[in-house]
Amino acid sequence: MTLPKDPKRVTHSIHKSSLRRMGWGDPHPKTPLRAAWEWYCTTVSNDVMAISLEAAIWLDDHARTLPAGASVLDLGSGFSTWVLARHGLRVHTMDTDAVWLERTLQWLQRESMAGLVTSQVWAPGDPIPVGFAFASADMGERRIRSIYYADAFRAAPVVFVDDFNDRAVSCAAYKAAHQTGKRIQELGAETRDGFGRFGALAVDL
Amino acid sequence: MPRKATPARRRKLMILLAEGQAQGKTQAAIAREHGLKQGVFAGLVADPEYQAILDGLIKDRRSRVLMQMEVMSALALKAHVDIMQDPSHRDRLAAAESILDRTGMSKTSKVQQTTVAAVGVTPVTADFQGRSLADLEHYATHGRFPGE
Repeated sequence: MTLPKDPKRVTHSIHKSSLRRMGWGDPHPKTPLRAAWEWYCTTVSNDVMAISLEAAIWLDDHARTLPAGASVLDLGSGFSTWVLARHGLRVHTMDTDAVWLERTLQWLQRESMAGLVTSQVWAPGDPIPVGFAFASADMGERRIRSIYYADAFRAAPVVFVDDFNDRAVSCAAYKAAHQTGKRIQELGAETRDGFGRFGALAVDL
Repeated sequence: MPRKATPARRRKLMILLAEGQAQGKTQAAIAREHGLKQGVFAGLVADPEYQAILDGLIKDRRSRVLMQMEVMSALALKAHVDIMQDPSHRDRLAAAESILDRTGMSKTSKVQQTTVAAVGVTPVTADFQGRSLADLEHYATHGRFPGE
């Protein structure tokens, strides 16, 4: 297929995120966050496995609103851990994969952020600590997410749920919201990336 | 009056002509290529012996192409096995599968395949908001709501 050369002539059936992936109308200037994300996606991970730039920007903006030194929970370690730690938040990161967790910690050590981060390997059935100011839930494969979402939703008043576009994930999130008295707020416009992925928030009613 | 070609020379000319024509060349071009006079091939095309030579040549070429394809398919298979065994490519395949999984394009899920097309236009909330816990549990187990 030959793509039109002039982006203004592109029909509206092409989503703006697709345009972004083609390098047209890029709404994300080369900020330090973007530079760090691009570096992370080419050295530590890749843009498929890592949290999307759009979601990272949202997390970054939200992290700014939290008081420095606040405790946050990061379920699924990686770039999100760095984003939260860079605002001086105390991050407790958990992951199902001990090797991956170690890799993240080594990276954070190189970034001089390890002092802000505690870590824990999680397996289904393990408790999830509570009492955080904020939590990000993006840990493990889809099939295990329904196992811990309810616990994750109890861990903080505001919980970011990534991969909400996936119906198994969104169904599990709505179930957990029922069980924990939270409401779901989609972040489709704010976090949708070129793959069509987007996040949502679970917030106290 | 031109000298009549001997049977051996006639056969040699037929082979030259058949090889050239099998490559899509004209009689004049073949004659030029071999330093022969224009019209040297006159009358050869109608000869049944020429048709037999041409048919044999085409058959031979076809079998050579088939043999080459067999060799190439073996090479292609080997390349595929090499790629599958290469750790970095495995990572790439895993990453590709992961994104397919995360966007709901799992090979095993018909329900999700249909919804992938809708990602971006159908808010997930519209489907799940206001549903009872029992409905959501039914969906989580069966991939559809009760009564659907």
